[in-house]
Amino acid sequence: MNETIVEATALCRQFGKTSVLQGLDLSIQRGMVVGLLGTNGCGKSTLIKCLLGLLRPSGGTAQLFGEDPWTLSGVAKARLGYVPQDVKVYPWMTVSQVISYTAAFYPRWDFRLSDDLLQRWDLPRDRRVGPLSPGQMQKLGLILALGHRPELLILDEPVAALDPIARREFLKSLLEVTQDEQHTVLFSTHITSDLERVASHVALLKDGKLALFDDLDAVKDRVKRLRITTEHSLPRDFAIAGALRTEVEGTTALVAATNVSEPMLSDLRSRWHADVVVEDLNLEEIFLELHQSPRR
Amino acid sequence: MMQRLGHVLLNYATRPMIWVLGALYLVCLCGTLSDTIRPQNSPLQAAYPGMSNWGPTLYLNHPQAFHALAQGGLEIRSPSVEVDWQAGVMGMAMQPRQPATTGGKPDFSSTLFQRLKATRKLRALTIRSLTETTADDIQGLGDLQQLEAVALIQCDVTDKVWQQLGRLPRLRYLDLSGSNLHGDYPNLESLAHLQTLILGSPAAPGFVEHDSPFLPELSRFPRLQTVVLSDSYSVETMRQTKGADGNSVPRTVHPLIENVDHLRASASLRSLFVDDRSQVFVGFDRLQVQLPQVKTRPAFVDVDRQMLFLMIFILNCLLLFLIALQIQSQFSQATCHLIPNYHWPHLIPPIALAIVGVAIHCIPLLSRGVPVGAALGVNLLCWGLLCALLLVGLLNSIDPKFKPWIMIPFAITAAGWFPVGLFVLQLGRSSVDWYLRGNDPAWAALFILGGLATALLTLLQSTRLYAIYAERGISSPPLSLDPVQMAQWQQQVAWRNSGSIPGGKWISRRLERAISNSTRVGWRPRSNLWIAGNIQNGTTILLMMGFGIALLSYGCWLTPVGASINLEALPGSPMFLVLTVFLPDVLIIPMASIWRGRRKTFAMESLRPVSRREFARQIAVAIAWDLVPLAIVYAVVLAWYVIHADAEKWSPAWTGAMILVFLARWLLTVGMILWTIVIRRDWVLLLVVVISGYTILFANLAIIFLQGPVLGIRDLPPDLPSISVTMLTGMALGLGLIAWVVTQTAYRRWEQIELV
Repeated sequence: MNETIVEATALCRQFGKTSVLQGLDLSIQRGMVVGLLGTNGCGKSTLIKCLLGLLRPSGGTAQLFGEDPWTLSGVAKARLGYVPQDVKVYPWMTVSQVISYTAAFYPRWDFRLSDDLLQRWDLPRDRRVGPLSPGQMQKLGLILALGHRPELLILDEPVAALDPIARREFLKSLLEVTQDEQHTVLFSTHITSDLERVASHVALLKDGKLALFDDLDAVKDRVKRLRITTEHSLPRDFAIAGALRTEVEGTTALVAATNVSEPMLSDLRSRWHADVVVEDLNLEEIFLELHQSPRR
Repeated sequence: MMQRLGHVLLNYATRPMIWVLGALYLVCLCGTLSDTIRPQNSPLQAAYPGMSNWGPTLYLNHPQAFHALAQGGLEIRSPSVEVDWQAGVMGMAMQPRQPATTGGKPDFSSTLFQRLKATRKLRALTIRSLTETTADDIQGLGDLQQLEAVALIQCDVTDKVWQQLGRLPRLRYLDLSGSNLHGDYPNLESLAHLQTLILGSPAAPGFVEHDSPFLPELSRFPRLQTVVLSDSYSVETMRQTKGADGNSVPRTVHPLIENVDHLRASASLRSLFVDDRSQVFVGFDRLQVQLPQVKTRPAFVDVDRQMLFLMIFILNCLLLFLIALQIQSQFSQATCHLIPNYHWPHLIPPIALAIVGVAIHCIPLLSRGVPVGAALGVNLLCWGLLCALLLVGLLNSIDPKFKPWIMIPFAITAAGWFPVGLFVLQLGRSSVDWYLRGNDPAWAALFILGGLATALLTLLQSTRLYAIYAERGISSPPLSLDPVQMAQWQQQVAWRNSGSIPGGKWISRRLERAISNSTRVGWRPRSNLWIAGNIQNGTTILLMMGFGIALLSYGCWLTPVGASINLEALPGSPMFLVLTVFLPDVLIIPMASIWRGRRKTFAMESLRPVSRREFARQIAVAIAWDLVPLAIVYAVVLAWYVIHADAEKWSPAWTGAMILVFLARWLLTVGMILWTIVIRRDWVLLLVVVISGYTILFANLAIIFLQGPVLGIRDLPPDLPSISVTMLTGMALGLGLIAWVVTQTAYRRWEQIELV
């Protein structure tokens, strides 16, 4: 569990004058299933590409199995599976041709697994890849990434193209394939329900940095919403330590905050003569709290 | 490894585009090789520097012309005039009251020289067949002080002629091909600016010397730099010796064996063009040793061998395009970096294809006696040039929306092969032939090493293509984005490309405005996107057209006649007529490619609340704007036709009919491009574009050959069928109808096309 599979230190990436990643630190251990959460265009794909060596970082370092991703060795590549946002396979080949073509490059391709997945996901072997639907393409991409039983699986928005039923089915299959081994999974998404269903850890990306990275349950425990009601109007600059977002309206304040503790609550009650109610948040609410403007 | 290689080859074999391109390549290859198998009996052509091209030449080579000259009915305005002296004599004989000169021949020379003297633009004069002349006949020649080039072809050049030539202060070029040189050669020192002297030409063989050898006199020209000697130049051939049987036989001794000292005595001499066809030719090596300061080159070369360059260039273009296409699809996807042992199995087939291809492309040259090194050099020069273009695309920023990386070789093949080939030949037939004889091993080595290095660099760069594309934001938009998210994604692409293309910041700003306005209701019909896009396309098209026009201009005005294709005759030749219309029409191919490549931006544009038909109409308008340069070219061609047409055969109705024809052709081009961008599969698009592009080309050929004789444009075969104004109008209406059908079909397809 303590072996570091993916590591990023002070990772930066710029496009022209715009910084997408700004000194990001990340460490993923073996066995983690990490959901990378963020809004569209926040840099999820850029982070994944930098981690995989598909983009050269502007600053900082990234490591994959202890190697520089830009010059990844064949051994490391054989331990890695990747499903990109848009799966690109040769449209003129059939499904089985594409699988055998990809399999030829891996020393230990599990044909039984790929056949089993083809059957389970109802992918027609002899049909050309070009006319496949986006959902079928995504499934094919996953088969190509899983066929050699990789230790690390990285998926970039894997279910974005799928309808809710297919999404649920896809994630279920993903769990089945990955749970029985010491797999490490990193997948990006902006759909929090998917992440809650699959991930053991969550990484929240905001402004080019990791706003949160922790065990999923720990994140839920750490972030709470405080409903504060006082007898007198609260000042507009009302603030508490660890607040992610504060909304003040007359005698009521709604504050999303991390590290909510009993002493902190006692302090609030005594200082403001307030009634403080602590509310639990689900992941989507945490995501929204993080990405809405800090003060209203 | 073999198993992986087998799968990679399967990837080649199953791709329809490879079959289409491969078939095209094989057709061209078989055509070139079959030409090689046939016996080669191509005539040799002059390769030495010819008379500068001053512009249109007036030919006075018919008695009627001199008759008109004498009557005052012929005005001389041309900077170059060619006179057939015998025709002049006959023309003057037709004059009823022409006084006879001594010797019984009518005197026309004074009239001619008076008229020529009055022509201020006159720079070049060619006189043919000046025989049995008197001093009075040629006396006026020395008064033509403006002359810079004189050719006396098959004339008797006596002391009196030399005296007249000596009065020409600006004379730089003197051609005495096929002429008899007499006397003591007075006044040679007066020709202070003479740089080029021609003593022999295949067009006028039989050069003889009656009195004394001329070569010793070369040192009397103070600035003589270039001398051309033909095989027929030989004093020895005129001297008879007694054979064993007592009969007189000519001695066939090449002049340079005996006269090289005279050449060496000419201190300013830099270039010597000699005819090496003689069996007794001493060889260039020996000449080079004897004349180390003089560059010795062949005067007559096999031009057909050089014309092979065009086919070799096309073959290499096609092969490179085929390979680049495959490499592009295999290395542009992210997974290629993440699959172990991916590179070599994917690099071996293209490298093997390239090696085998280049080896086969050498065969036509080898069969014509070109050494292996030189033949390889020609091929690798093509690879070097093309790969350099690709490298420019890869290393510098390019507009990712139309991926010119892959389109450049094809565009060059389609539109650039003729000017490029012309350009190669313009460099000098003699120098090219010198290289093809294997006498420039350093150049061959440079071409080979340069081509290999550039190809290798391109290949190495191509293996990181996925990273280059990722850097430039070339990727499909994320799936399932709503319109606002799609606009954001497009905006991201726009700012990533900001500053990456010439004038890119301005274009990107307009793109961003288009994006931000894309979802607004009731926004103005023609968006900034199209304006920006049109400017982008216009730049490309103008660059390509400028390239072609510059080469053509270079060929027409700067190149001496003898050094290359006889460009003096070009403006009246069918080839020139073809070029004027052919070059712009082939733009349909790159244009279709460009518009096809930027289809990704249509998704954003389609977000605006307009109907599909309205959307298609806007695209058609944008394409039409892109093709304004083509319309301008057509207008220029039309004007050229009108100016050069025979006044007796031309009428305003012709102008009207031809306007209609050109308009119909222009509309057809717009319709074709509008239709081609709705084709879903690349290989079908390629087929359609190639077939339609070349159909238009051949249609143009037919139209030109039909129009030419009718309009009285010279140098066209006179026995071709002629057409009437009615037929031309019918042709225009027919083309217009086809254009309308194509456009309507495209509109219907646009209503169904899936844009994202």
